[in-house]
Amino acid sequence: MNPMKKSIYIKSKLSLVLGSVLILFLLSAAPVKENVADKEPIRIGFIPLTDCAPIVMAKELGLFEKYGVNVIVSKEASWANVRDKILTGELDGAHCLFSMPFSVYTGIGGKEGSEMKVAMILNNNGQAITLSKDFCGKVGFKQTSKVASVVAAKLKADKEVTFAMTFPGGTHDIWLRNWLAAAGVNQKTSRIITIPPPQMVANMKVGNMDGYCVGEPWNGVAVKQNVGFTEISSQDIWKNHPEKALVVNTTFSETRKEDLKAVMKAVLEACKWLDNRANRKKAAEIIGKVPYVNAPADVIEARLMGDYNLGCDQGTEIYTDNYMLFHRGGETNFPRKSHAIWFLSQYVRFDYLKEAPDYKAIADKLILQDLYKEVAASMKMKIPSDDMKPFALEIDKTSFDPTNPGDYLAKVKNSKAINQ
Amino acid sequence: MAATKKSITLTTALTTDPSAGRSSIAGLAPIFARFFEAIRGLGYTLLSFALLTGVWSLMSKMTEGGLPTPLATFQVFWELVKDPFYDYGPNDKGIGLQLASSLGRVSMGFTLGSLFAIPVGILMGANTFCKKVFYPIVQILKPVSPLAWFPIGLVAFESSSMATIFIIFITSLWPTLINTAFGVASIPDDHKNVAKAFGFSKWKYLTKVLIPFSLPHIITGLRLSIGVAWLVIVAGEMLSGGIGIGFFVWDSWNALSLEKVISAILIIGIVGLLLDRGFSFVEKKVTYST
Amino acid sequence: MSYLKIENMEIAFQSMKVSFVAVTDINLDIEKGQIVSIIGHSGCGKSTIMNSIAGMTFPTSGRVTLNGREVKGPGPDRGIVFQNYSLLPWLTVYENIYQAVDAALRDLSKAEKKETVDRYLKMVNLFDHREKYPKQISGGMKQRVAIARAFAIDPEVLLLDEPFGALDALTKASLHIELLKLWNLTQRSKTIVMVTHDIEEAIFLSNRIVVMNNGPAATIREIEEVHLPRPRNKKETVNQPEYIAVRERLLSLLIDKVAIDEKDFYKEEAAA
Repeated sequence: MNPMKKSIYIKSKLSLVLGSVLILFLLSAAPVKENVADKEPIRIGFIPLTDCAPIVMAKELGLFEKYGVNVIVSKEASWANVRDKILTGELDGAHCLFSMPFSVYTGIGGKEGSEMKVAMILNNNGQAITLSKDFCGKVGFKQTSKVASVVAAKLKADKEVTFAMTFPGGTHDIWLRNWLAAAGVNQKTSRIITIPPPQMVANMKVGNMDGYCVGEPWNGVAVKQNVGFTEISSQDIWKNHPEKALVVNTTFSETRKEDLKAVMKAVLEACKWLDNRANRKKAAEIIGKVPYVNAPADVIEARLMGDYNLGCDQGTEIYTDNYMLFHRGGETNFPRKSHAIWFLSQYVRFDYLKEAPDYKAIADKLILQDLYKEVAASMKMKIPSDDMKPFALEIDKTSFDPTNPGDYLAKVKNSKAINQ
Repeated sequence: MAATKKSITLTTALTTDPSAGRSSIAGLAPIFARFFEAIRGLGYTLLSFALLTGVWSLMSKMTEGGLPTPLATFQVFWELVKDPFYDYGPNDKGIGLQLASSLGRVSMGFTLGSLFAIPVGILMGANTFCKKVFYPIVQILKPVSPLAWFPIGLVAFESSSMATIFIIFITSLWPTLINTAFGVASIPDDHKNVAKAFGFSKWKYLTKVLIPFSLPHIITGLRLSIGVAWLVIVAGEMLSGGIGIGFFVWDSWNALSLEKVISAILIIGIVGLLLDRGFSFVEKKVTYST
Repeated sequence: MSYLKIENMEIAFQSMKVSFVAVTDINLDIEKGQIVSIIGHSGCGKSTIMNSIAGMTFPTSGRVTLNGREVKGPGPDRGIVFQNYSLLPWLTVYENIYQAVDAALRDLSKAEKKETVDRYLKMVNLFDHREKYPKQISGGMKQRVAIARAFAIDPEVLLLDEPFGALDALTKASLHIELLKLWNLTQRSKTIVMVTHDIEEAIFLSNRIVVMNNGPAATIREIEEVHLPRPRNKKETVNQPEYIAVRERLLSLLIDKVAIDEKDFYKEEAAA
């Protein structure tokens, strides 16, 4: 080729490459802001867990549109990811661990002082603790008293015992710790680590994980794959505990209040729809699909119905009134400050926090209770009146008075079944 | 390659035929030779794939289905690629769209990285003071894992998509920077003397000596950088979520679908190979022999 | 009044703590339009002297003046032909010369520069190869390009550093003629200083030959005048008595052994 032509050839090739690069560059910039009918869309994130159902079903049933908001539902990579995006505003709201805002605010699971707001609760129950099949036969379902000796034996044999949960200060973390405390296991000698759900199952499969606490469907999946068995479910630890919440970005809650209310209404209606057992099969099919939870629909459905195949030849446990519930006539969705205070007290109990935080102030700041009351009233839904009243967990029966957490802490420190 | 040698003997065998029909056979010989060469090459490739598939099947049996069989994986792979551009909403898009999304982020981070790395590399190569000042910074920052940069990117840009582009930028600029600096620093005295002797202006030196000499090195650096960038995007998307091949891997792992994970690995590998080849091609075009 | 003058020059190079003196006590007067060769063994500082005239190396003491002005650095008034051609491999033959012309003769218009390049290409008979790249042409052709390039910038002085050292004897011979042709075509107005190893080359081309002592701290041993008439001829000039005389002198100055020693003759023991 003529050298002059050759240099032109090279130059044109290079400009072609540069041109393509530029086009790809523009392509990447394009999808950030999606094409909107009239208003800016609201982005709500979720993590692939069965209890993302209210958000997903609100979308799938057209409820967001019904209440006049354009919502984009996006799958997120991890709880940390959800936290970051809510704080930066990339997400307006998310399906989120109820206790995450409190963990983040106090500096445990995020930068201290960062504010995420709880708009409403999405579900109660439906989480569980799965133990590796190495423990099969040694300790059975809900045999909490046997746990300590089994764990001690493992510790002696393998020099370490590992439990996993999903987020420091999150709901699963606290269920796990309460269970270990009730069992009399010294938490300081156990490794408690944060890892994503699939790693939990995969590690247990190869014998690296002794137990984990996570939401469905991962406990059901572990049983189905014969990797572990269900030791205790979260409803056996605390019946009708708050689990996931609709957590929102602070600015969004302040500047787009009407939109937030519309979102809440849509989600509330979805929650009500989900509590109808007749709808649960359909729900399992939809949320099991690839864009959502991406897990077998039959496993999701079984546990949604309260049929717990426990694994390890333990048979099936049928929950009649405390399987995963989303509404309970309005009892579930009301965000209680007493529950927030309870979680904060757990942080002190398990040495996450050295000093007692300002319980009431934090609960007041982060829970949008008045907003919820407005929304519930407009939907003619029951507003419970039991906030700030004492309650006790099933697993240890110790009474908790939200107006005096210190009292409760003193009691648990004195009881036998605590971490040393 | 052995195939070439054998095909040459084949050609000579055909062309040394002294019979009258020599001219026609001689004319066809190169075509035959290339044909056989291609077949031979294909044969080697098929053999290596057969070997890989064999080992894979064995491992699948050994792990009792923990590792999916090649057949199952291929079925899933086929499902993925046969309809690559479907779009059912933000969480369910075809693999082609996901790839495009990842490539978009890669090009942005890579382009920014290159725009930064090439001038700084030239400075470092040409100027001893710059080299001495920048080099320790390069040595400290270069080995830092991209995943460690993610939280920093998040704080700096308040956005996980920007943070992802940032980690591509910060990790992919090192190969380009170092190769550029090396190229510029190794300009032979001969060329420098020509520029000095004939009074080349600084601009002429830059455009007629420095850059043409260093260009092969720069392109090599870019080729290595795009490889790094492509590697990083997959890891980065696992952290940040969204649409992309990396997040696809993460999500498939979440669903314990190893077939999809392996299919994604194959696709990622093929794209990486194509990117590398693309740059190699450019490299060859700008290499001059002295 | 000499045109190119080197006065009491010493050049030393510093490395770490050691100072290495390359050449010392160099005094040289060169008239305009002369061809002067510098010859000597390797390491005798010939190239160093050349570089000082080129302005690429600076004297530690003494100075170099050209036309009354001290040489402070490279410039378009001195054209250089390097030993290794030093053509830029990514530029065509045409471009290699053009860039030099463009850099050195800034006041010319683009058309004038083009015309200059074409002219010199024709002078060295490379016009038809002007679009080729250095890797596509032979060593001899590359050197012709280098010579054309040096001439094209219309310098006062041409400095050739072992310009034909890398070429075979036959090509070398034809290039001698090329060089003289170019020199003639420019009215013999250019002063040429050339470094060489080749005695025959030095005599054939030069008016004067500077013979160096061995380094380090090399000095000028002797300057030979070459009174051969021009134009010189490869067939006839070499047979002239002046030529033979100068060659004889140079051989004795430069070459220790001109023949095998008697005691190196192979002798048969007792047999003869």
